Amino acid sequence: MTLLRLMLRNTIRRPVRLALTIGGLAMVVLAFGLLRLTLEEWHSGVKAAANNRLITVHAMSDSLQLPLAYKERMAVIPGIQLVHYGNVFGVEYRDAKESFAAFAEHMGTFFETYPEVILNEADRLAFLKDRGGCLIGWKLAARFGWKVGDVIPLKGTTHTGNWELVVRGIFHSSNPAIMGEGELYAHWQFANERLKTTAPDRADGVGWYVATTAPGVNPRSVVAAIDATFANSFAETRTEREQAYIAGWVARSGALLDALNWLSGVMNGIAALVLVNALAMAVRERTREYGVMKTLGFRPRHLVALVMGESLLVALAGALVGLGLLYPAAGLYAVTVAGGKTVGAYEITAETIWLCLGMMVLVGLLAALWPAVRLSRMTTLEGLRHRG
Amino acid sequence: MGDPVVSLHNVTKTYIRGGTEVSVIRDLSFVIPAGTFLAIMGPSGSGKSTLLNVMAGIDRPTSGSVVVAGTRLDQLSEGEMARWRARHIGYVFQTYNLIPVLTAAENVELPLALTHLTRRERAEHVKTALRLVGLGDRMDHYPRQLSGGQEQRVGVARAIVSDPTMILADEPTGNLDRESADDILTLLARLNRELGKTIVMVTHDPRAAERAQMIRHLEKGLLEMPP
Ligand SMILES: Nc1ncnc2c1ncn2[C@@H]1O[C@H](COP(=O)(O)OP(=O)(O)O)[C@@H](O)[C@H]1O
Ligand SMILES: [Mg+2]
Repeated sequence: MTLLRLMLRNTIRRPVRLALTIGGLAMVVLAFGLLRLTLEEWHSGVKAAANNRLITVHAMSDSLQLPLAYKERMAVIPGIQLVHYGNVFGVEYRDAKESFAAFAEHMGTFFETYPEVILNEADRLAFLKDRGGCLIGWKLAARFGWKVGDVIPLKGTTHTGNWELVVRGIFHSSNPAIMGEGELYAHWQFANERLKTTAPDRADGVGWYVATTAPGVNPRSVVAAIDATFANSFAETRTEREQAYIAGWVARSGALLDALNWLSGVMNGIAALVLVNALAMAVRERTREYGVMKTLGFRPRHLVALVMGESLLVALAGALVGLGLLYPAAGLYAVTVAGGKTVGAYEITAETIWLCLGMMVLVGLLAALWPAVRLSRMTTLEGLRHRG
Repeated sequence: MGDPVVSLHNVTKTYIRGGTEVSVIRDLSFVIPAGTFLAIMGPSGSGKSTLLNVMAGIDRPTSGSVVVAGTRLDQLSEGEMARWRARHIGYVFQTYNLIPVLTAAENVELPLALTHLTRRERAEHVKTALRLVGLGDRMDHYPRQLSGGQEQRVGVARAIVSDPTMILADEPTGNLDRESADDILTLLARLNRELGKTIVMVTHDPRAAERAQMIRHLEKGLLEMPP
C-alpha cells in the first residue's frame, strides 16, 4: 500500500512534465488510431466488394490486352448474366501532376454492372447519349472545379492526342473502395475509334472483363469455367472474384502496407522515446531516494516494480487521452478525407481500442526497461552518493 | 554489557584512485558489545562513513571478516544483505533523506512495507515511533513543512520503527543548529538507555560525541583506543 502510494505520488510529482508526456503519447495514439482506421476502411472495401462480379484479365499480366471477341464467348458460359468490359484511359489534365485515374468503359453494360454509381437519371441518360461525354466523381470535380456541361481538355498519355470531353454527370459512390469518387469514366467505343487511327494495333483491346453471375450461381464454378474456355488460346485468362482481385491488389501493393506497418513501428518508437526521456529524467532525479530505499532494505525488484508501475500508468493515461481524442478526430477525418460517404464510416472498433492499449502497455514496459536495469545495477552507496 | 553485536577482524578497505591504491581502513579489529552507545570521531576523510557503511551492510570490506548481529556480512549476496539490513539496521542520515512526496507518517511507515504486519499494526508502530520522537502531532506533514530538527526526528523514527538490532547514524547532527542537535542526541541517548538499543554514531563534533558512552577516534583508517 505504501509502495503503491509512493508510485502514484511519484507519477504526479512533476505535473507539467507529466502533462507534456501524456500529451505526446496521446498524439502518437491518435496518429496510430487514424492509421488503423484507414487500413480498416481499406479492408472493409475488400469485404464490401460484390460477390457476384468476376474480373477476368490476361493471364500473363493485367496490363496486357484481351481480344474484344471474348465478350461473345463469355456471354454463353452458363451462370453468367452480363459481360462488361473496360480499359484504362490514359489521359491527364494540364500536366502529369494533374493526373487521375480514368477508365474507358463499355457503356451498354456499365450502370448495370456497377450499381454503386449514384447519379441522377437525367445526367445518366445525357451521358449515355453523348459518346464524347464523360462522368466524373465529385472529388475530381471538386479538385478542378469542373461542372456539368464543362468541356475539359485532356492530354493523352497512352491514348495519344488531345481529348475534349464534355462533363455529363458528377457521381457519388456507395462504395468508394470499389468505385472511386476521384475518377473519370468515358465511353470505350469513343476511345477505341480514335485508337483505330492513332494506334491500330491496340484497337479493339480490352483491359478487363467484368462478368456478373446470375443469382443462385456459385461464382467459384464460373471462375473455373471462364478460364477453361480460353485455356490454350492465344490469350489465356486469369479470372478472380472481385473480392479476391481487390484483395490481391491490396496484397500486391504490399510495399505500401509494409510502409504502413513500419510507420506503426516508428510511432511505437516515438512513443517509447517520449516516455523513456521523461522516465529517465525522473529516475535520475530520484536516484538518491532509491539509494535510501535500498538502505532500508528494499531490493531491486521493489524499485523495478515502482518504475514499471509508473511507466505503465503514464503510458495508459496517454492511451486513454489519445483514444478520447480519436473519437472526435475520426468524425472529422471521415468528413474531410472521405467526404462522409464511406462504407465503414471510420468506426472505432474494439480491436483498434485494444491495439492502442496493447501498444501503450508495450511502450510502457519498454520505456521502463533501461531505468529498471540501471536501478538494479546501482549499488546502495552509488544511490546515496548521487548529487542531483 | 552483553555479547558483541559487532565484531570486525582484520578489516581493510582500499580504493583504486588514479591507478594507485588508497587504503581507507587498515587492518581494523574491534568489537562493540550489545547495548553500547558508541561515538566514532575523526577528521574528514578518515574513513568514518566507510566503516559505518561496512557495519551497516551497504559497503563491503576489501578483506577481513565482519560479523554483525550474528551474521557474517562479507559472505552475503546483495539480496541477502538487503533482507538482513531490513531486519537489523536502522540508519540515520546526515541529510535526513526523507522521501519528499510522502508525509512524516508515510516516511516512517516505508520500512514496514517489507514486513508482514497488517495495516493496523503498521499504523500502530508508526504512531508509537513518531510519539517517541515527539512528533505525534505532525504525522500528516510533508518533509518540506518541517524544520531540519523535526525532519531528523522523523529520520530517527523511521530508523527505529521496525525495531532493528542496531541504529547507525552518520553525522546525524551535522546539518542541525545546536538546540536541534541536542534534541536528537538526547533522543538517541534515551533510545539507548530506555530501549537498550545498540547505537553507533559517526561525528566530528566533540560535543556530540560526549553524549555517547564510549568514544573511538579514527585516524587514517586506524582506530585509536583510549589510553
Ligand atoms: N567510492 C570511492 N572511491 C574512491 N575513494 C573513496 C570512495 N569512497 C570513499 N573514498 C575515500 O575514502 C576516504 C574516506 O571516506 P569517508 O569514509 O567518507 O570519510 P569520512 O566519513 O571520515 O569523512 C576518503 O578519502 C574518500 O575520498
Ligand atoms: Mg563521512
